[in-house]
Amino acid sequence: MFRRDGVLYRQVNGSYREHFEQLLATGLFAFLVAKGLIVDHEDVDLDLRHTDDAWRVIKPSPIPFVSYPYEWSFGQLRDAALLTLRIQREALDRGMTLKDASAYNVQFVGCQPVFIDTLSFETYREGRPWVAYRQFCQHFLAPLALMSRVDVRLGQLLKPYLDGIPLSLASRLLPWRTRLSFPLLTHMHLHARSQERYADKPVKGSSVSVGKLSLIGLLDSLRKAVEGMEWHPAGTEWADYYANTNYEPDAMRRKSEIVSEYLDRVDPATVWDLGANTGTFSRIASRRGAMTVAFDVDPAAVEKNYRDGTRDGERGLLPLVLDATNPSPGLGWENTERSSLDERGPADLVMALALVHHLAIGNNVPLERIAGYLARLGTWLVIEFVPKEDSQVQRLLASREDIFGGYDAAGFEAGFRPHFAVVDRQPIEGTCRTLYLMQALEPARRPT
Amino acid sequence: MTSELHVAMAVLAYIDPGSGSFILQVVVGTLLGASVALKMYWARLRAYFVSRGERNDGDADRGA
Repeated sequence: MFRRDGVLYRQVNGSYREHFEQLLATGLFAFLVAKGLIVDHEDVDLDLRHTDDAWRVIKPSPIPFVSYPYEWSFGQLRDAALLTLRIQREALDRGMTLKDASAYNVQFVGCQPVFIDTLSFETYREGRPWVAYRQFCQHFLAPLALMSRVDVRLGQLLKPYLDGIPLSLASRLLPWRTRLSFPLLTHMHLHARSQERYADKPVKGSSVSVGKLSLIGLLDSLRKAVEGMEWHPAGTEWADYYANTNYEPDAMRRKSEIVSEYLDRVDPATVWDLGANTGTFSRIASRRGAMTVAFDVDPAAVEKNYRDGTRDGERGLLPLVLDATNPSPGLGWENTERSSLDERGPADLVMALALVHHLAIGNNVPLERIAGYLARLGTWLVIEFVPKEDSQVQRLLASREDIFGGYDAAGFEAGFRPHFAVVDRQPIEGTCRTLYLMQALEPARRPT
Repeated sequence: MTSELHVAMAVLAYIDPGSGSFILQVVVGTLLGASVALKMYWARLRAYFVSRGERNDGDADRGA
């Protein structure tokens, strides 16, 4: 995989030629593309090759925003798991198999999961086990089981464990009663025991035999295990947010009108909504054709947003779990295998509605530092200032000493002035809040 | 204590979880494969008797 002039290409080496030709000749690739399960590509000139052993160079259709499994809600990870299993099943029917089952091989276009690794397929040889079985269990089954059976926040374990959650760890964390579930007993607990038992006894995939029917049985069992895992967002603080805010319907309508007006004025192609909750305001952007990413810290809000998006077939809105006070960092070797949030930007426009008080008061970040970071994320900013008189800020201040002397409208504007020019400001009638449209003094640039 | 820790970590670095995954796949795969085969034969058996039943019904209809 390499980039030229900002365009992503993939090189198919001579050693992979046989498998790639089979992928095309069997009709598997065409079938998966037609069903929208895999990313399409176009062939480009071999002169664009990266190294001399290239046999072919392809240009995959671009993914609007690259996201990672530790940013997905439960439902997103579950759908990515089911997509991987479906593709492996379709491949097997056409004499091929997936050699990887990494969650990083799935991306989301809006709320639609799509497989991106066209070079993961290889010829299936009768009797060979599924080499990606362990990876599937670590990348999908272990986090899904922990999220549904222990706590949804355990999905965050995918951040330190980039090759999936070790099964020995998942097995220890899962409650004892999960041993009564046949799929979890086998694919998690016995799998972990077997790994421990044969840890120092090298076995090659080619020396064991697993019949095709057994593989089909294994895939069916994994699919049922994934389908059987459930998590329902309920009762958390944020998923019910709009039900217990101090926004009256009229004020909510007014806020929507101002946000719409600002979006029409800027006409952004990409929007990042930080603190999007269930995506009410993100949808104002996505309905205008902007590729919108709706970030929220609460997995329940993101799950609701994703389910609504799936129901509506949203292709321009991507809900993701992200803590704005601790955004995804660069991870992996040299911290560059997985990009940080700002490395995946900038967006044309960032929305930060009802967020600034959480950062400034809840997390004690100086206003100027908030402005500095937001200016790195996007060129335009729609931001809501929530003053101290607001009952939500009072709630934050109830449990901490008020050391935030400069936190008022004048202090807010002064803090943002080094990074942004205020283009417009409008009070939201019926509240004590103000909406701002700002433009960064220097256009945000993709970090190099 | 420290040296023990080093030895433990070195051993950990050479542990290959792949072997256990293959072995488990053989064992669990055989069980699951057998259940798939049973289901397939059962479906065929049912289909056979259902089609025989339909044929008989058809004969009966023609006879009437």
